[in-house]
Amino acid sequence: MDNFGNKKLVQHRINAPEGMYYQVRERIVKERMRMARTRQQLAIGSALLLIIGGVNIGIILFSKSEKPHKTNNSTEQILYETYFDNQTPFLK
Amino acid sequence: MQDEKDIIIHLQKGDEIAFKWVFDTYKDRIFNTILYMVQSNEEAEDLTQEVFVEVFLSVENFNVQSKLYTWIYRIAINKALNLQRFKKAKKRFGNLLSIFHLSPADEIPDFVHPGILLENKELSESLYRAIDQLPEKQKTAFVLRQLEDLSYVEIAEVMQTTIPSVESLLFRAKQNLQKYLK
Repeated sequence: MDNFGNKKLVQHRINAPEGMYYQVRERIVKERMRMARTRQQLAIGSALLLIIGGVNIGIILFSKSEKPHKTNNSTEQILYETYFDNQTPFLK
Repeated sequence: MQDEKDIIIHLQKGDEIAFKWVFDTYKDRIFNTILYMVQSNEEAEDLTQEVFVEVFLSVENFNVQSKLYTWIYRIAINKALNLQRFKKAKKRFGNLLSIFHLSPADEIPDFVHPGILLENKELSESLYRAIDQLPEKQKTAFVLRQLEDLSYVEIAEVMQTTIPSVESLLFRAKQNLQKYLK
């Protein structure tokens, strides 16, 4: 034991427990199912994100901003014209 | 099924016969290596299973030019070292809690290898305790060389290092063991 270079340690070897192969197979099946489920969840998540993003873009593109009614009040009229007449054509 | 490249190709195709062959060929060696590393029968059994699950699921990415058994050994060693790091971190946290009397620190019982005769138990306990005290790399090199009988080239391949580095690790491991066992 005190000279490892010349003496080999006694190798205490035992066999792997019986039935391990079937446990490994079971774990492989479970792992594959877990991976498939993760992939499925990722696909569903991505699809949902795409749909939500598409709907949001659609709302922005096709919605028309409602202009307030014109009033006879001169201050409000000035504010109205200052605000709405200087907007980009997109919002008009 | 003798040619290793053939086996790898079959494994990559998901062939169960090839997998069973690999499992039957390496299970005992891998189990024993992990047992020396983690020094717990239950954990060694669990990790051996994990190793073969990973072999089967990630063999697609395996490079046919490399040796299969060194790759399997590498997976086993990495898993064993990860578990040890986790256990050490847990022990450190437990010690910290015990300082504040929140929870008592669990004492890890001395490992007795299941293959050791009753009269050698005391000697083997001190030896395994000493092996367990070695730094990770020295412990890996020592287990692969002295207990698993791998050549320096094979150890270098498993540990992804050079042969001189393996020699140096083994030299230091032996020195440390002699120091611990005095």
